[in-house]
Amino acid sequence: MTTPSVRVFHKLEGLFSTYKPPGVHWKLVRDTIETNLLKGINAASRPAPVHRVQFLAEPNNALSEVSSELTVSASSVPSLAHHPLVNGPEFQHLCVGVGHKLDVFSSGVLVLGVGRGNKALTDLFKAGVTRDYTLEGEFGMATDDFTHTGRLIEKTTFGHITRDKLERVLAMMQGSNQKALLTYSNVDMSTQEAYEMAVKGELYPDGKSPPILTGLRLLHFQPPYFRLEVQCLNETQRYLCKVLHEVGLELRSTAVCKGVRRTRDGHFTLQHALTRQHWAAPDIIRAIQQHRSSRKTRKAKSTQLGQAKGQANHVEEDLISGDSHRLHSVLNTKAFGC
Amino acid sequence: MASACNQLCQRCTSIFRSRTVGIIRFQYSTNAEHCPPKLLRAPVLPFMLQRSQTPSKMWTQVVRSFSESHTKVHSSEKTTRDTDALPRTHVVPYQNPRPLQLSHGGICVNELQTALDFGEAPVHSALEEISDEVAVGMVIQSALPPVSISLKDYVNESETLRKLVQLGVQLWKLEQRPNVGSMLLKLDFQADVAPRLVFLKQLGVEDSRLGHLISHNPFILTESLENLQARVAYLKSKKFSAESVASMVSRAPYLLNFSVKRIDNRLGFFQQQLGLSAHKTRDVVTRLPRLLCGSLEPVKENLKVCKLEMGFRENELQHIVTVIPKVLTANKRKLIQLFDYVHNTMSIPHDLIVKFPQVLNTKYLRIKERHSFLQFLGKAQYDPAQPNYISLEKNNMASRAPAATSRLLVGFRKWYYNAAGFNKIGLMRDDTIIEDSDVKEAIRRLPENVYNDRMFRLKRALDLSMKHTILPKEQWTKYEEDVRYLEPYLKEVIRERKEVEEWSKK
Repeated sequence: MTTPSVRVFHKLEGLFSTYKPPGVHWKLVRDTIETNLLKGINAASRPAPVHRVQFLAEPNNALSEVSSELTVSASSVPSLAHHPLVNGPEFQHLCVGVGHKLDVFSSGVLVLGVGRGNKALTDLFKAGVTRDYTLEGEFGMATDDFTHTGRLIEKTTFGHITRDKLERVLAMMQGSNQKALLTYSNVDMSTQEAYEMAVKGELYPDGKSPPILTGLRLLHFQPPYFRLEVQCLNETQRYLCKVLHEVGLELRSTAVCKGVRRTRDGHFTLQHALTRQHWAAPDIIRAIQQHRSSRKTRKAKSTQLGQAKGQANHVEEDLISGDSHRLHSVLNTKAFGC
Repeated sequence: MASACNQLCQRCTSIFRSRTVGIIRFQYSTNAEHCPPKLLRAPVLPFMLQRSQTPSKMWTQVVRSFSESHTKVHSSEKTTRDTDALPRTHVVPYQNPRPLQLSHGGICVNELQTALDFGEAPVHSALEEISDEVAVGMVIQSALPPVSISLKDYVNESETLRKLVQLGVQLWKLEQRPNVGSMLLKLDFQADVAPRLVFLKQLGVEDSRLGHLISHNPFILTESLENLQARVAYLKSKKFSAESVASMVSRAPYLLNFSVKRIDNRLGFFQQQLGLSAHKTRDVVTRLPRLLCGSLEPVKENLKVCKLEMGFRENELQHIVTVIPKVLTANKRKLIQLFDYVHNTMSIPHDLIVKFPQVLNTKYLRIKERHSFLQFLGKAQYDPAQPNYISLEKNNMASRAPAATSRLLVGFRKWYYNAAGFNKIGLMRDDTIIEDSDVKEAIRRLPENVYNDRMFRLKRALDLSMKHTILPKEQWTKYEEDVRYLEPYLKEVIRERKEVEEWSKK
């Protein structure tokens, strides 16, 4: 039986992204969203109260006539067993799953799934998706946990660092990571297949792998502060802080991380991430609907592309095999667009 | 019918049943015919007898909730007990328990009388057929489970539960607490619940708060009335006004469950530790009555934190507590985090925090957001001695907009806007931007309706300027209505152009 609450819940099933502020544990974000969603779902109107039939004796008959002819009348009374105060709210728990996690120090896009969305969440993260981060760094210090809040270990000079040198180091790191990606992708490098995959950028580590940075770019440089944009796979935020530390060491200096901010997780970008003020059911429903519709269009596009590609492949094959009849028909369909 | 009777015969072998599985528990006893009638007619027993109007008049069933009086009465009978599950499918001549009435002997009088002339009734066989009239006369009630994990099963039958639901008590929350469900079931509405409700009502607790109070503290229904009265009398003797007692009781449900000694101890503690006057202690306690209910350890810790870690002086602490008593019960870690941010990052001195203790009552993220935004605007200036001072109080207010630009400046802008004159021919500010390549690109990107509006305004303006007239005054574009519709698109175009230039330089 679908009640209004269940209908609201079905609307909520899916994926959406939130913006996690720094200094907050991801579990707190998840719990806040769960309570807010429960509030929203249970606020939906309740179904009409259930009635039950009760046999009530009619006392006036008993007085006038013999007691053996006591009549009993059926009446329907609202059943208290289904009262909201007795039964409690319809939904008391909600399955809210978290995608790739963010530690307390970092902020940015955090993907959450509700209900059946949880399955999609695991599927999404099994498929190789990269994530974008912006890292804020500062030269001249080293701390025990690589962030600026940690215990200071070392102080260094940074006057010798130029933009050029920094970019050279970043390029070197990107190169070595690229190489690591090739080794972890488990594809024979001397094949045509590997070449094609590498050209399309479809190489992805097979199974578990250490964190890999697929892209590193300097966004802003004003010593001692600098900002990097990073695309990566299988990373943790701690690892990213460490990357900054290593950049500092490569440059004969030291660096600490002042902030980690995830700007993209798969196809979830900052643009659609819900900020703290919007962690309520109506906004989340809107975000989920939007994600569903965008996924549909993406799917449609990819299938179209796939079909076009498939046809092109056929044409090539047919040309090679000399199957002129089939080639003719394929070309016809292409030409007339049917 | 016969099969039902057969089952009953089997059933009467087991005289007492008790099951102690769930949290809500009843005990049934089925007294068979062979129980000595004199015992049944003994003056102790009638209140607990309930007799079914079966034709055979042989089953008297005694149902009692699990109470002490029950065991006392039946200890003399020396009956055996077993814990078999009772088959409950056919219960035709079998009257079901009314645990509520029985628990306090509230049986209807006529039923009691029928129970008493039990001995004179002719003995019937279980296999005997009954006439239709008698069958009609039988009262069959819905089966109540003897054990349940939820109060749902009993709420239709129990008067107390029904009345509590009507009061707005959240039974679903209460049943999750251990022993509360069976405690509620044992209560009799008239004898136990009603006097306490009347007492609370006389105290001045509002009707709407009664449900809340009982949902949080159901044990007030078992507390003796004298105790409750003594505690209220104590509070009144400490010169708490009647209204403040009522509000304290409704906001701190457990207050009246604590002994006078304990309440006195608490009041003394707050007065001594904080060194407050009696009047101020009363004020603090009235505003945060849960200070009297909770443990004193966290309060002591918070006081230490305020004194040692934060470095407030005694009199400063007094002031903070009298303004914001919540500081005493706040989470220690959160309090420190907040103070750390306010004092070290926003660099607000102690005396200013004491002046605006509300700062310590806000959320960390809220303060942080507000401060970073003000810093971004270059307006984070909290020193009252300097210009552009932003009060901490205002800081906490939900003013999400930046500190507003001064009225004078707005007035000047308005005047300038009207003096420029384009509004008199119905144009907006963004219509008057000279169309270079950037602007053209931005206009191309406008949504269609906005673009059409712009075209309409431009055409109208051209027409008017040819005729050397202006629009009637009510159609002039007002300063408030002017939207910079082109600005975001233009900014984006310029940003992209710069990026392209930067790119081509390399």
